[in-house]
Amino acid sequence: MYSITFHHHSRQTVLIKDKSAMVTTATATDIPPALVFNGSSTGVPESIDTILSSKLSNIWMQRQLIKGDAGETLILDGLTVRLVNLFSSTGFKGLLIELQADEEGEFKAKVAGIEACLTGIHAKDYKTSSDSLSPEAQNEICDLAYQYVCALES
Amino acid sequence: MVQQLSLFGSIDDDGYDLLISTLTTISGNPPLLYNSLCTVWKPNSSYDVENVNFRNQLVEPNRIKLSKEVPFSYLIDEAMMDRPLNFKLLKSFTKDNISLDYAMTRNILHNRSPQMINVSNNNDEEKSGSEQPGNTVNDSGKNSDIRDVDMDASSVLSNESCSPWSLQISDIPAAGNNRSVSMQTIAETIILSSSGKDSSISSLMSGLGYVFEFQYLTIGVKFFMKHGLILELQKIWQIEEAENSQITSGGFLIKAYINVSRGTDIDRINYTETVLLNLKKELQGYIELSVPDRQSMDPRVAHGNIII
Repeated sequence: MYSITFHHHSRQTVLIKDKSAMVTTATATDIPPALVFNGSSTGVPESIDTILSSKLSNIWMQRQLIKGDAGETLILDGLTVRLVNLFSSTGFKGLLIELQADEEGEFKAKVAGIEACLTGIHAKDYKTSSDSLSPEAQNEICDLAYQYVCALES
Repeated sequence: MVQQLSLFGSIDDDGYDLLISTLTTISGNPPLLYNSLCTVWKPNSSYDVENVNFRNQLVEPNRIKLSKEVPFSYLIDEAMMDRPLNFKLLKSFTKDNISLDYAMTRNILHNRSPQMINVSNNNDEEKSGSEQPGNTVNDSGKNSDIRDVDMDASSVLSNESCSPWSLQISDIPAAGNNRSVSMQTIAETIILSSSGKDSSISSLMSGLGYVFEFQYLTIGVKFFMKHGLILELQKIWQIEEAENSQITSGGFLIKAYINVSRGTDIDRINYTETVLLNLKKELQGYIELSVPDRQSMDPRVAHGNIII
C-alpha cells in the first residue's frame, strides 16, 4: 500500500493498494457540507497517515518515507513542470519531474522532448509513467499518485 | 482527535410536538431535518493480526464507523411524497419499516447503480437497466421490495467513484465514576473519492483489512444552539438483510453534544462541560439527560459491544 500526500493539491492524501485508490483529506474546508450538517463528520479531520500509524498500527506499519521538500514549479512552453529532490531516511532518492499540460495537443511530443533532454545530459536511469488507474473514469489526483508510484517503484 | 462531550435522554412519540416547540424557543433556531447512514466495519477475522504494533505497544482492534448522508428520496414513501421536507415529517416515521432496505445500502457500499428507476414499474426496463457487468447478483426478487421513488439525477450513484464518506475511529469514553458528561475521543478522516479497478467503498475497506459488520440509519431533527451545542432528536433503524427494525420504537433518542477540536484544550473542555450541564439543568424535570454507560459505547472488537 502506498500513501501519497500532495501539498500542491490542498494536502489531499491518496492511498493506493492493488490498483485501487482512495482520496482522503485532512483539510476542514474540503469536507462536503452535507457530512458536517448531518453530524457524520465532526469537522476536524486528520490525515489518514495519522490514523494508520496510531489506531491501525497493529495492521499497518510504515516501511519507508520519501519526502520532497522545496520543489520548484516552472511554466515552460505550455507545460507546467514541477521539480523536486526526493529524500528517504537513507539519503538522496532521486529527482522527480512532474509534467502537466492543460491541453492534450502536443503533450506527448513535449514529454518526448524532455526525455531527449534527459538522455542528452546522460541521465539514462530515468523512468516515465503516464499510466491511469482506470482509463474510463478520470480521477486526476488518483492518476497522478499512481504515476508517482510507478515512477518511483524500483 | 476530536473530543465529543455528550449527554443522552429520551422522550415518547407523543411528546414530540411539545419538545420541538420548547427547544425552538430555547435555541432560537428552527429544527432542521437530517439523516445519516452509518456502517460499522470490523477487522477481517481471517487475518491473524496481533494486538501489538512494531513498537510493541498494545493496539486493540477497533471498529471503524463510516457514515454519510443519503438522499431523502430513498427514505420517504408515496404517502409522504407531497409533504415538505421539514421536522413534521419525522412524526410519520413511527413504524419498523422504512423505504431504505438492505439491497439499497448494499448498492451504495458496492457502488452499483440503484436498481429502481422510475414510477413506471416496467419490469423490462428494470432488467435492461440492471444488465451491466457486476450487477448480476441482484435478482429481481429483491427488487420487488424496493418502493419506486422518483429520483433526480443527483441521487444516482456513479459506478466509478465512491461518494464522500466520513471515516471515524472512536475510543471508549473516558472512565471515572463521577463524570457529569460522557467524553469520547474520535479520530476522523474524510474519504473524498476513489478510483481504480475496484473502487467501491467496501473493496477499499477490505483493502485496509476491514469487513462489514452492521449498519443503521438515523433520521432526526437537530437544533444548533449557542456555544457550539448541538441537540438532536433521533429515530434509529437497524438495516438488516431480513428486515429493518426500529431501535427507537415508540420514542426518540435525544443527544446533546459539543465537539472540542483539541483534546488537550482543557479550558475549552471544562467550559463545554458547563454548557452541557446548564442545558441539563434547564430541561430538568422535563427531560432527564444523563451519561450513557461507557461500556455500551466501547468500539473495541474484543469486547463485543455495539457502538452508536
